[in-house]
Amino acid sequence: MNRILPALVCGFAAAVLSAVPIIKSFSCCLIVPVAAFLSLYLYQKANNDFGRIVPAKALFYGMMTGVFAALFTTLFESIFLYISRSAELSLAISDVQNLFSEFKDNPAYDEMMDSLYKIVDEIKENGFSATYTFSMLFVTLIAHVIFGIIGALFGMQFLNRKNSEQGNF
Amino acid sequence: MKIEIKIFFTFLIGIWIAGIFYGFFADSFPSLLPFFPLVKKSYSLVCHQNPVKTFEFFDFHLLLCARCTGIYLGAFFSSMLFLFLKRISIKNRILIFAALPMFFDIAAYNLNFYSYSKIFAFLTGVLLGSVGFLYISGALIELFDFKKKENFE
Repeated sequence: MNRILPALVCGFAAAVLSAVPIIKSFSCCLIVPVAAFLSLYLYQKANNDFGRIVPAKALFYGMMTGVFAALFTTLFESIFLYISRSAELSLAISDVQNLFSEFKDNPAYDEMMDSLYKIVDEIKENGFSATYTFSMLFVTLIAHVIFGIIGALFGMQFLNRKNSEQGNF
Repeated sequence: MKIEIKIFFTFLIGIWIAGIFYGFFADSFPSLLPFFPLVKKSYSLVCHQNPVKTFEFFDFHLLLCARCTGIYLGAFFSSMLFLFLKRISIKNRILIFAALPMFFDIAAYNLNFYSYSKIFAFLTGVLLGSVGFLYISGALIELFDFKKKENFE
């Protein structure tokens, strides 16, 4: 558990920050990479191990932070959607129409809108859509794991250089 | 590090960049359109996608803002350079210097010193993206050489 705890804490924090609109728009793609970086740093602090970080360890922490961030992001999004389904959806429907208006002349436009409205109807009725939740989980898992690994590789380089300059190895 | 692995990384970043133009591709190939919401959602995880801050390509907004487009294009250029380099070592302070123009730009326009410029955001992104990729290239080399050593042991 001690090994996973830094990744769990940082993944949870990343998911919470991703849900805050202002922070999300400021930090763009930095939240998950910074969380992965921090999980490596926390691991070193918690275990008082300032030796050289090996690539396998960086990969592990990057991946785990990404996985936890994806799970919590999907969970929070599903809860928010369930709580505020009617208010969010009326906004979402007009948003969707505006967002995809540039494709109105495309022959596949109706097919795409039908599948989107099907999801909207499911959420209106049950407060939950399995299609939406699983596609959300799928894309967040891929994106967060990749960005988590990138952040951890940055962290590995940064912490190794810092610790070597301080003469720790 | 084998050249095939380097080409693979360049290819992966290339695919990611091609995805930014998905709107344009979906318009040209209608069979791609049903997946557009999923692709848009994927990119929304790493960028706010504010239409005011995104470039347009043949009347279609890119799926990333100018700054993020710059970061990934910078990383792509560096990954191509990486194909011809054996090893490059970027110090921590060079990475911090490369990030400074971006942080200065973010702070300055948020404090209303000047209005948002897509070109400036793009250029600061290119700088950080290109230096950032070269910075982690050392870690990538170490990662694959480490795997090779592990296989021998």
